[in-house]
Amino acid sequence: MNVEELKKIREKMQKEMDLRSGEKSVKVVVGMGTCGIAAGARPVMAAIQEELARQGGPQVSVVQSGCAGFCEQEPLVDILRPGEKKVTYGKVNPEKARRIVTEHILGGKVIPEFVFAQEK
Amino acid sequence: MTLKELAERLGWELRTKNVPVDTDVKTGYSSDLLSDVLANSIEGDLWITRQAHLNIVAIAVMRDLSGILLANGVEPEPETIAKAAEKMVPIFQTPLPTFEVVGRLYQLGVSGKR
Amino acid sequence: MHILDIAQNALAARAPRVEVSIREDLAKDRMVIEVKDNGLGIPPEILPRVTDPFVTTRKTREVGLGLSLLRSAAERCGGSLQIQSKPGKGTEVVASFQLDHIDRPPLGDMGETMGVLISGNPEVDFCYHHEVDGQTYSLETQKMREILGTASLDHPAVLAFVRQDVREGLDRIGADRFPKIMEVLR
Repeated sequence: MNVEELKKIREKMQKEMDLRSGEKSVKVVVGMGTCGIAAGARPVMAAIQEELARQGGPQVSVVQSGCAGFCEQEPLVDILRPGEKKVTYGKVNPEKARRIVTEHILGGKVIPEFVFAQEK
Repeated sequence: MTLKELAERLGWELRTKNVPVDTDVKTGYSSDLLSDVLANSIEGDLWITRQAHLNIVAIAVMRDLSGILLANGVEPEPETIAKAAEKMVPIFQTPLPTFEVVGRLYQLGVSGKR
Repeated sequence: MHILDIAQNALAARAPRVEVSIREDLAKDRMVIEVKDNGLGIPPEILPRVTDPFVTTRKTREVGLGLSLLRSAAERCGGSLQIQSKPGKGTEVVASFQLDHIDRPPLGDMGETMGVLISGNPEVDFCYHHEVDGQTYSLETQKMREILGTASLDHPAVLAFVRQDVREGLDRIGADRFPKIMEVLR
Protein backbone atom coordinates (compact mmCIF):
# COMPACT_ATOMS: atom_id res chain seq x y z
CA MET A 1 0.00 0.00 0.00
CA ASN A 2 1.39 3.37 -1.05
CA VAL A 3 1.53 5.31 2.21
CA GLU A 4 3.02 8.48 0.69
CA GLU A 5 0.07 8.75 -1.68
CA LEU A 6 -2.33 8.39 1.25
CA LYS A 7 -0.59 11.20 3.12
CA LYS A 8 -1.10 13.49 0.13
CA ILE A 9 -4.79 12.62 0.09
CA ARG A 10 -4.99 13.39 3.81
CA GLU A 11 -3.76 16.92 3.19
CA LYS A 12 -6.23 17.39 0.38
CA MET A 13 -9.11 16.12 2.52
CA GLN A 14 -8.16 18.37 5.43
CA LYS A 15 -8.28 21.43 3.18
CA GLU A 16 -11.76 20.44 2.04
CA MET A 17 -13.00 19.77 5.57
CA ASP A 18 -12.40 23.41 6.39
CA LEU A 19 -14.69 24.45 3.57
CA ARG A 20 -17.75 22.23 3.80
CA SER A 21 -20.43 21.99 6.43
CA GLY A 22 -19.96 18.22 6.63
CA GLU A 23 -23.52 17.11 6.06
CA LYS A 24 -24.42 14.61 3.39
CA SER A 25 -27.77 15.75 2.08
CA VAL A 26 -28.00 13.84 -1.23
CA LYS A 27 -28.25 10.07 -1.18
CA VAL A 28 -27.41 7.83 -4.14
CA VAL A 29 -28.15 4.10 -3.87
CA VAL A 30 -26.64 1.66 -6.38
CA GLY A 31 -28.15 -1.84 -6.61
CA MET A 32 -25.39 -4.36 -5.90
CA GLY A 33 -27.18 -7.72 -5.72
CA THR A 34 -26.09 -10.66 -7.90
CA CYS A 35 -28.20 -9.46 -10.83
CA GLY A 36 -26.97 -5.90 -10.43
CA ILE A 37 -23.34 -7.00 -10.45
CA ALA A 38 -23.95 -9.28 -13.45
CA ALA A 39 -25.56 -6.39 -15.33
CA GLY A 40 -22.59 -4.11 -14.66
CA ALA A 41 -23.30 -2.24 -11.41
CA ARG A 42 -19.65 -2.13 -10.39
CA PRO A 43 -18.40 0.13 -13.20
CA VAL A 44 -21.55 2.24 -12.76
CA MET A 45 -20.75 2.86 -9.10
CA ALA A 46 -17.12 3.56 -9.95
CA ALA A 47 -18.18 6.05 -12.64
CA ILE A 48 -20.47 7.87 -10.20
CA GLN A 49 -17.70 8.15 -7.60
CA GLU A 50 -15.18 9.31 -10.18
CA GLU A 51 -17.49 11.94 -11.60
CA LEU A 52 -18.27 13.23 -8.11
CA ALA A 53 -14.54 13.41 -7.42
CA ARG A 54 -14.01 15.39 -10.62
CA GLN A 55 -16.86 17.83 -10.15
CA GLY A 56 -16.87 17.98 -6.37
CA GLY A 57 -19.84 16.57 -4.52
CA PRO A 58 -19.06 16.53 -0.80
CA GLN A 59 -22.74 16.63 0.06
CA VAL A 60 -23.42 13.38 -1.80
CA SER A 61 -23.26 9.94 -0.19
CA VAL A 62 -23.13 6.88 -2.45
CA VAL A 63 -24.18 3.56 -0.93
CA GLN A 64 -25.05 0.05 -2.11
CA SER A 65 -28.19 -2.02 -1.74
CA GLY A 66 -29.14 -5.62 -2.39
CA CYS A 67 -31.48 -7.03 -5.01
CA ALA A 68 -34.65 -4.95 -5.43
CA GLY A 69 -36.50 -7.57 -7.44
CA PHE A 70 -36.42 -5.71 -10.77
CA CYS A 71 -33.52 -7.71 -12.16
CA GLU A 72 -34.18 -7.00 -15.84
CA GLN A 73 -33.82 -3.26 -15.17
CA GLU A 74 -30.44 -3.55 -13.46
CA PRO A 75 -28.16 -1.68 -13.00
CA LEU A 76 -30.53 0.42 -10.88
CA VAL A 77 -29.62 3.73 -9.27
CA ASP A 78 -31.82 5.64 -6.77
CA ILE A 79 -31.43 9.37 -6.30
CA LEU A 80 -32.76 11.08 -3.18
CA ARG A 81 -32.34 14.82 -3.09
CA PRO A 82 -33.61 16.83 -0.07
CA GLY A 83 -37.22 17.84 -0.50
CA GLU A 84 -37.61 15.79 -3.70
CA LYS A 85 -39.29 12.46 -4.43
CA LYS A 86 -37.06 9.43 -4.99
CA VAL A 87 -36.13 8.79 -8.62
CA THR A 88 -34.95 5.36 -9.79
CA TYR A 89 -32.93 5.08 -12.98
CA GLY A 90 -32.80 1.73 -14.77
CA LYS A 91 -30.38 0.06 -17.19
CA VAL A 92 -27.69 2.51 -16.16
CA ASN A 93 -24.21 2.28 -17.70
CA PRO A 94 -21.11 4.37 -16.91
CA GLU A 95 -21.95 6.88 -19.65
CA LYS A 96 -25.49 7.43 -18.37
CA ALA A 97 -24.16 7.49 -14.82
CA ARG A 98 -21.89 10.44 -15.58
CA ARG A 99 -24.81 12.38 -17.08
CA ILE A 100 -26.94 11.53 -14.07
CA VAL A 101 -24.25 12.95 -11.77
CA THR A 102 -23.92 16.19 -13.74
CA GLU A 103 -27.54 16.84 -14.63
CA HIS A 104 -29.52 15.34 -11.75
CA ILE A 105 -27.37 14.68 -8.68
CA LEU A 106 -25.52 17.99 -8.93
CA GLY A 107 -27.77 19.90 -11.33
CA GLY A 108 -31.15 18.97 -9.91
CA LYS A 109 -32.81 18.04 -13.23
CA VAL A 110 -34.27 14.57 -13.70
CA ILE A 111 -33.41 12.83 -16.99
CA PRO A 112 -36.80 11.38 -18.01
CA GLU A 113 -35.57 9.01 -20.71
CA PHE A 114 -33.39 7.12 -18.20
CA VAL A 115 -36.03 6.87 -15.48
CA PHE A 116 -37.40 3.47 -14.49
CA ALA A 117 -39.63 4.60 -11.63
CA GLN A 118 -40.46 7.71 -9.68
CA GLU A 119 -42.09 8.08 -6.27
CA LYS A 120 -45.44 9.82 -6.60
CA MET B 1 -19.05 -13.70 -47.70
CA THR B 2 -15.92 -12.14 -46.28
CA LEU B 3 -15.60 -10.75 -42.76
CA LYS B 4 -15.57 -7.28 -44.28
CA GLU B 5 -18.81 -7.87 -46.19
CA LEU B 6 -20.53 -9.40 -43.18
CA ALA B 7 -19.43 -6.52 -40.99
CA GLU B 8 -20.80 -3.98 -43.46
CA ARG B 9 -24.09 -5.83 -43.96
CA LEU B 10 -24.70 -6.36 -40.25
CA GLY B 11 -23.26 -3.14 -38.85
CA TRP B 12 -20.35 -4.50 -36.83
CA GLU B 13 -17.51 -2.29 -35.68
CA LEU B 14 -13.93 -3.40 -36.13
CA ARG B 15 -11.91 -3.01 -32.96
CA THR B 16 -8.55 -4.20 -34.29
CA LYS B 17 -7.23 -1.64 -36.76
CA ASN B 18 -4.96 -2.71 -39.59
CA VAL B 19 -5.88 -6.38 -39.34
CA PRO B 20 -6.93 -7.87 -42.70
CA VAL B 21 -10.62 -8.69 -42.86
CA ASP B 22 -11.00 -10.21 -46.31
CA THR B 23 -11.13 -13.81 -45.10
CA ASP B 24 -14.07 -15.76 -46.44
CA VAL B 25 -16.36 -17.03 -43.68
CA LYS B 26 -18.22 -20.28 -44.22
CA THR B 27 -18.83 -21.46 -40.65
CA GLY B 28 -19.46 -20.05 -37.23
CA TYR B 29 -19.41 -21.12 -33.58
CA SER B 30 -21.15 -19.51 -30.65
CA SER B 31 -20.04 -20.21 -27.08
CA ASP B 32 -18.85 -18.41 -23.97
CA LEU B 33 -17.14 -21.40 -22.45
CA LEU B 34 -13.54 -21.34 -23.60
CA SER B 35 -12.93 -25.07 -23.10
CA ASP B 36 -15.95 -25.73 -25.30
CA VAL B 37 -14.56 -23.55 -28.09
CA LEU B 38 -11.20 -25.25 -27.74
CA ALA B 39 -12.83 -28.64 -28.16
CA ASN B 40 -15.54 -27.92 -30.72
CA SER B 41 -14.52 -25.07 -32.99
CA ILE B 42 -13.08 -25.75 -36.45
CA GLU B 43 -10.51 -23.86 -38.50
CA GLY B 44 -11.98 -20.78 -40.14
CA ASP B 45 -14.92 -20.47 -37.72
CA LEU B 46 -16.16 -17.00 -36.90
CA TRP B 47 -16.49 -17.11 -33.09
CA ILE B 48 -19.34 -15.23 -31.45
CA THR B 49 -18.91 -14.64 -27.75
CA ARG B 50 -19.27 -12.24 -24.81
CA GLN B 51 -15.89 -13.05 -23.32
CA ALA B 52 -13.61 -10.03 -23.60
CA HIS B 53 -10.50 -11.24 -21.85
CA LEU B 54 -7.09 -11.76 -23.46
CA ASN B 55 -7.61 -15.54 -23.37
CA ILE B 56 -10.02 -15.33 -26.32
CA VAL B 57 -7.11 -14.32 -28.55
CA ALA B 58 -5.18 -17.39 -27.42
CA ILE B 59 -8.15 -19.59 -28.34
CA ALA B 60 -8.52 -17.93 -31.74
CA VAL B 61 -4.83 -18.49 -32.46
CA MET B 62 -4.86 -22.10 -31.22
CA ARG B 63 -7.89 -23.00 -33.30
CA ASP B 64 -7.09 -20.87 -36.37
CA LEU B 65 -10.40 -19.04 -36.24
CA SER B 66 -11.20 -16.42 -38.87
CA GLY B 67 -12.20 -13.85 -36.27
CA ILE B 68 -14.08 -13.00 -33.10
CA LEU B 69 -17.37 -11.15 -32.83
CA LEU B 70 -18.26 -9.72 -29.44
CA ALA B 71 -22.02 -9.55 -29.01
CA ASN B 72 -24.32 -7.66 -26.65
CA GLY B 73 -22.23 -4.51 -26.87
CA VAL B 74 -19.42 -6.07 -24.88
CA GLU B 75 -16.13 -4.25 -25.42
CA PRO B 76 -12.85 -6.12 -25.72
CA GLU B 77 -10.32 -5.23 -23.03
CA PRO B 78 -7.42 -3.02 -24.16
CA GLU B 79 -4.93 -5.88 -23.70
CA THR B 80 -7.14 -8.09 -25.83
CA ILE B 81 -7.24 -5.60 -28.69
CA ALA B 82 -3.49 -5.06 -28.56
CA LYS B 83 -2.68 -8.77 -28.62
CA ALA B 84 -5.27 -9.49 -31.31
CA ALA B 85 -3.75 -6.82 -33.52
CA GLU B 86 -0.30 -8.30 -32.96
CA LYS B 87 -1.50 -11.82 -33.80
CA MET B 88 -3.67 -10.62 -36.70
CA VAL B 89 -6.96 -11.82 -35.19
CA PRO B 90 -9.84 -9.56 -36.25
CA ILE B 91 -12.18 -8.59 -33.43
CA PHE B 92 -15.57 -7.08 -34.21
CA GLN B 93 -18.23 -5.70 -31.96
CA THR B 94 -22.03 -5.56 -32.24
CA PRO B 95 -24.71 -4.25 -29.88
CA LEU B 96 -27.04 -7.09 -30.92
CA PRO B 97 -27.63 -10.12 -28.68
CA THR B 98 -25.92 -13.38 -29.70
CA PHE B 99 -29.17 -15.09 -30.71
CA GLU B 100 -30.06 -12.27 -33.09
CA VAL B 101 -26.59 -12.08 -34.57
CA VAL B 102 -26.36 -15.81 -35.17
CA GLY B 103 -29.80 -15.80 -36.79
CA ARG B 104 -28.75 -13.11 -39.23
CA LEU B 105 -25.48 -14.86 -40.03
CA TYR B 106 -27.37 -18.08 -40.68
CA GLN B 107 -29.64 -16.24 -43.10
CA LEU B 108 -26.58 -15.00 -44.95
CA GLY B 109 -25.32 -18.55 -45.43
CA VAL B 110 -22.89 -19.00 -42.56
CA SER B 111 -23.29 -22.54 -41.28
CA GLY B 112 -22.84 -24.05 -37.83
CA LYS B 113 -22.32 -27.58 -39.18
CA ARG B 114 -19.23 -29.46 -37.96
CA MET C 1 -17.76 -10.64 -10.44
CA HIS C 2 -17.73 -13.53 -7.99
CA ILE C 3 -15.63 -11.79 -5.35
CA LEU C 4 -17.82 -8.70 -5.26
CA ASP C 5 -20.88 -10.93 -5.04
CA ILE C 6 -19.55 -12.99 -2.11
CA ALA C 7 -18.39 -9.84 -0.32
CA GLN C 8 -21.94 -8.49 -0.67
CA ASN C 9 -23.14 -11.59 1.23
CA ALA C 10 -20.75 -10.72 4.03
CA LEU C 11 -22.06 -7.16 4.11
CA ALA C 12 -25.64 -8.39 4.14
CA ALA C 13 -24.66 -10.46 7.18
CA ARG C 14 -23.70 -7.13 8.80
CA ALA C 15 -20.05 -8.05 9.12
CA PRO C 16 -17.94 -5.25 10.63
CA ARG C 17 -14.88 -6.76 8.95
CA VAL C 18 -14.38 -8.51 5.60
CA GLU C 19 -11.10 -10.13 4.57
CA VAL C 20 -10.41 -10.99 0.95
CA SER C 21 -7.35 -13.11 0.31
CA ILE C 22 -6.10 -14.49 -2.99
CA ARG C 23 -3.17 -16.87 -3.21
CA GLU C 24 -1.60 -18.00 -6.48
CA ASP C 25 0.88 -20.87 -6.62
CA LEU C 26 2.37 -21.29 -10.07
CA ALA C 27 4.19 -24.54 -9.29
CA LYS C 28 1.06 -26.18 -7.88
CA ASP C 29 -1.06 -24.51 -10.62
CA ARG C 30 -3.52 -23.36 -7.97
CA MET C 31 -5.47 -20.22 -7.15
CA VAL C 32 -7.29 -19.98 -3.83
CA ILE C 33 -9.76 -17.20 -3.13
CA GLU C 34 -10.93 -16.67 0.45
CA VAL C 35 -13.61 -14.31 1.69
CA LYS C 36 -13.84 -14.27 5.47
CA ASP C 37 -16.23 -12.22 7.59
CA ASN C 38 -17.25 -11.82 11.21
CA GLY C 39 -20.93 -11.27 10.50
CA LEU C 40 -24.07 -13.10 11.52
CA GLY C 41 -23.04 -16.46 10.07
CA ILE C 42 -25.13 -19.13 8.38
CA PRO C 43 -27.40 -21.35 10.53
CA PRO C 44 -26.18 -25.00 10.59
CA GLU C 45 -29.45 -26.29 9.12
CA ILE C 46 -29.01 -24.10 6.04
CA LEU C 47 -25.25 -24.52 5.64
CA PRO C 48 -25.21 -27.84 3.72
CA ARG C 49 -27.69 -26.45 1.17
CA VAL C 50 -26.42 -22.91 0.88
CA THR C 51 -25.00 -23.40 -2.62
CA ASP C 52 -28.39 -24.60 -3.88
CA PRO C 53 -29.72 -21.68 -5.95
CA PHE C 54 -33.26 -22.40 -4.77
CA VAL C 55 -32.45 -22.14 -1.09
CA THR C 56 -33.52 -18.90 0.57
CA THR C 57 -34.32 -18.10 4.17
CA ARG C 58 -36.93 -15.70 5.50
CA LYS C 59 -35.09 -14.89 8.66
CA THR C 60 -31.81 -13.78 7.17
CA ARG C 61 -31.21 -11.77 4.02
CA GLU C 62 -31.41 -13.52 0.64
CA VAL C 63 -28.75 -16.14 -0.06
CA GLY C 64 -28.61 -15.37 -3.73
CA LEU C 65 -27.02 -17.06 -6.71
CA GLY C 66 -23.51 -15.95 -5.82
CA LEU C 67 -22.41 -19.10 -3.98
CA SER C 68 -24.05 -21.42 -6.50
CA LEU C 69 -22.32 -19.70 -9.43
CA LEU C 70 -19.01 -19.69 -7.59
CA ARG C 71 -19.24 -23.40 -6.84
CA SER C 72 -19.92 -24.33 -10.46
CA ALA C 73 -17.10 -22.08 -11.65
CA ALA C 74 -14.65 -23.67 -9.19
CA GLU C 75 -15.69 -27.24 -9.99
CA ARG C 76 -15.51 -26.56 -13.71
CA CYS C 77 -11.89 -25.51 -13.18
CA GLY C 78 -10.64 -28.51 -11.28
CA GLY C 79 -11.32 -26.89 -7.95
CA SER C 80 -13.89 -26.75 -5.22
CA LEU C 81 -15.85 -24.52 -2.87
CA GLN C 82 -15.71 -24.90 0.90
CA ILE C 83 -17.89 -22.90 3.25
CA GLN C 84 -17.48 -22.79 7.00
CA SER C 85 -19.75 -20.80 9.22
CA LYS C 86 -20.79 -20.33 12.82
CA PRO C 87 -23.81 -18.23 13.77
CA GLY C 88 -22.66 -15.28 15.82
CA LYS C 89 -19.04 -15.77 14.75
CA GLY C 90 -18.93 -15.40 10.98
CA THR C 91 -18.41 -17.15 7.66
CA GLU C 92 -15.45 -18.28 5.59
CA VAL C 93 -15.84 -19.03 1.88
CA VAL C 94 -12.87 -20.70 0.19
CA ALA C 95 -12.84 -21.30 -3.56
CA SER C 96 -9.96 -23.05 -5.25
CA PHE C 97 -9.22 -23.21 -8.97
CA GLN C 98 -6.63 -24.70 -11.24
CA LEU C 99 -4.69 -21.50 -11.97
CA ASP C 100 -4.02 -22.17 -15.64
CA HIS C 101 -7.45 -23.56 -16.52
CA ILE C 102 -8.87 -22.07 -19.71
CA ASP C 103 -12.27 -21.57 -18.08
CA ARG C 104 -11.05 -19.92 -14.91
CA PRO C 105 -12.79 -16.53 -14.77
CA PRO C 106 -10.14 -13.80 -14.84
CA LEU C 107 -10.15 -11.75 -11.66
CA GLY C 108 -10.96 -8.58 -13.56
CA ASP C 109 -10.36 -5.15 -12.12
CA MET C 110 -9.74 -5.93 -8.44
CA GLY C 111 -9.00 -2.25 -7.93
CA GLU C 112 -12.50 -1.38 -8.97
CA THR C 113 -13.96 -4.22 -6.90
CA MET C 114 -12.16 -3.16 -3.71
CA GLY C 115 -12.74 0.52 -4.46
CA VAL C 116 -16.46 0.04 -4.84
CA LEU C 117 -16.61 -2.12 -1.68
CA ILE C 118 -14.63 0.29 0.46
CA SER C 119 -16.18 3.55 -0.71
CA GLY C 120 -19.70 2.08 -0.69
CA ASN C 121 -19.35 0.75 2.85
CA PRO C 122 -17.20 3.30 4.71
CA GLU C 123 -18.05 1.95 8.17
CA VAL C 124 -16.78 -1.57 7.37
CA ASP C 125 -13.19 -2.73 7.76
CA PHE C 126 -11.73 -4.36 4.68
CA CYS C 127 -8.49 -6.24 4.29
CA TYR C 128 -7.25 -7.37 0.88
CA HIS C 129 -4.24 -9.64 0.64
CA HIS C 130 -2.88 -11.05 -2.62
CA GLU C 131 0.08 -13.38 -2.92
CA VAL C 132 1.78 -14.75 -6.04
CA ASP C 133 4.53 -17.28 -5.32
CA GLY C 134 5.64 -15.50 -2.18
CA GLN C 135 5.34 -11.93 -3.52
CA THR C 136 2.61 -10.05 -1.71
CA TYR C 137 0.42 -7.01 -1.98
CA SER C 138 -1.97 -5.87 0.71
CA LEU C 139 -4.40 -3.12 1.51
CA GLU C 140 -6.09 -2.50 4.84
CA THR C 141 -8.74 0.09 5.59
CA GLN C 142 -7.66 0.17 9.22
CA LYS C 143 -4.21 1.37 8.15
CA MET C 144 -5.82 3.76 5.71
CA ARG C 145 -7.90 5.29 8.49
CA GLU C 146 -4.81 5.65 10.67
CA ILE C 147 -3.06 7.66 7.97
CA LEU C 148 -6.07 9.64 6.79
CA GLY C 149 -7.04 10.62 10.28
CA THR C 150 -10.69 10.92 11.19
CA ALA C 151 -11.88 11.52 7.62
CA SER C 152 -14.41 9.01 6.34
CA LEU C 153 -13.45 6.55 3.61
CA ASP C 154 -16.33 7.50 1.34
CA HIS C 155 -14.41 10.47 -0.01
CA PRO C 156 -14.04 10.10 -3.80
CA ALA C 157 -10.27 10.47 -3.58
CA VAL C 158 -10.23 7.23 -1.57
CA LEU C 159 -11.87 5.28 -4.39
CA ALA C 160 -9.36 6.62 -6.86
CA PHE C 161 -6.50 5.74 -4.51
CA VAL C 162 -7.71 2.18 -3.96
CA ARG C 163 -8.16 1.54 -7.67
CA GLN C 164 -4.72 2.82 -8.51
CA ASP C 165 -2.92 1.22 -5.57
CA VAL C 166 -4.45 -2.22 -6.19
CA ARG C 167 -3.74 -2.10 -9.92
CA GLU C 168 -0.12 -1.14 -9.39
CA GLY C 169 0.34 -3.66 -6.59
CA LEU C 170 -1.11 -6.56 -8.55
CA ASP C 171 0.88 -5.60 -11.61
CA ARG C 172 4.06 -5.60 -9.51
CA ILE C 173 3.48 -9.13 -8.21
CA GLY C 174 2.27 -10.53 -11.54
CA ALA C 175 -1.23 -11.45 -10.46
CA ASP C 176 -3.89 -13.35 -12.42
CA ARG C 177 -1.67 -14.85 -15.09
CA PHE C 178 -2.44 -17.85 -17.26
CA PRO C 179 1.13 -19.04 -17.92
CA LYS C 180 0.56 -22.00 -20.29
CA ILE C 181 -2.18 -20.21 -22.21
CA MET C 182 -0.04 -17.11 -22.58
CA GLU C 183 2.74 -19.22 -24.13
CA VAL C 184 0.51 -19.43 -27.19
CA LEU C 185 0.57 -15.66 -27.50
CA ARG C 186 4.32 -15.21 -27.19
